[in-house]
Amino acid sequence: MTAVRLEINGKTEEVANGLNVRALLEAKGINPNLVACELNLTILKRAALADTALHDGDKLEIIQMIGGG
Amino acid sequence: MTTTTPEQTFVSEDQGLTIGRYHLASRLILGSGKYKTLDLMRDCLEASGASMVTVAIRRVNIQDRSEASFWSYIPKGMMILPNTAGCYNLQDTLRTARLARELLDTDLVKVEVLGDPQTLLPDTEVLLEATRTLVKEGFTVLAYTNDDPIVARKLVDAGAAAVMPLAAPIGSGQGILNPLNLRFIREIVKTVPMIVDAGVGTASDAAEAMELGVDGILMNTAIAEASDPLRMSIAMKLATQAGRLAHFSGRMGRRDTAAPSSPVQGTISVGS
Repeated sequence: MTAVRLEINGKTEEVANGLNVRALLEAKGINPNLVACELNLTILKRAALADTALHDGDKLEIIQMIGGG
Repeated sequence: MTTTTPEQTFVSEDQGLTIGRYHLASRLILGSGKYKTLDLMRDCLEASGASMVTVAIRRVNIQDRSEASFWSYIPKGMMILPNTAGCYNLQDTLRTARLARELLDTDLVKVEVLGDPQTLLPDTEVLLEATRTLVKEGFTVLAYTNDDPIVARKLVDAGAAAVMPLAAPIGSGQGILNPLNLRFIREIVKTVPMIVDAGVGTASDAAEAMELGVDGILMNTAIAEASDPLRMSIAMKLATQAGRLAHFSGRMGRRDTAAPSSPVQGTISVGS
């Protein structure tokens, strides 16, 4: 399988073809319960992460909470 | 038989703060930024007695996952208030609020729209628009705003669940720069809580805000950048209570002259 090129948090990256968002998070050691994702400006429900396939050219934002006032 | 002291009675009379459908036992809300360590942050959050803590929403650092443990330092039972800090336009503000809702499964949001990076003063025009939109989407909006009574009134009309005027610019520690405006806002904002957010530098500032009759205070830097943050978090807790007690005590009138506190008769001065 060829790789697909994604933009993840503003950086271009090649990942294996056929990954869904949940699988990508797990491959990167990110706990899906501690982040929220937005794919091509659409917010993904956490329950839908495993059903959301990634395609070449997709823009994925992965956000978390950190300290702030 | 247990006896209740006046202090216990007066402190227990305070029913706390209600924001939309949320109830906070404490009138102090803390930020979670700028602490030297996460252990220190957790200790300060606990010691302050605060019921709610603000957090920022940021991109995950894919390479460095050290920030991932942040959530585990938030004391159990504390309400989390995500903010839109760092947003300078409507689109980013709405996007951040919606992502926060998905991330934290909450409708609470502190809407903060900055006008410029030097002063960090709010862009109240965009703030109003963001508030209207997010209220329609079911958010409980706590609106960080300027100390402008007219904007405060418009925020109430827009459906904000709390109006949060600044005491001074974010992180400046200048204290209350315009107490008159805060008084005007207090007269206008009657149906939802008025919370002073930003600019408090030390405990007397917190007490002064509460003496003005505001419902609560949100602060971050005053504690995080104190030399001893843990001690300051307790000072802020006490000052918030003290200011509220003073507000309801009915301050004495001001005189332009001195008035002796001890009887003027019966002194043993020579010649009397």
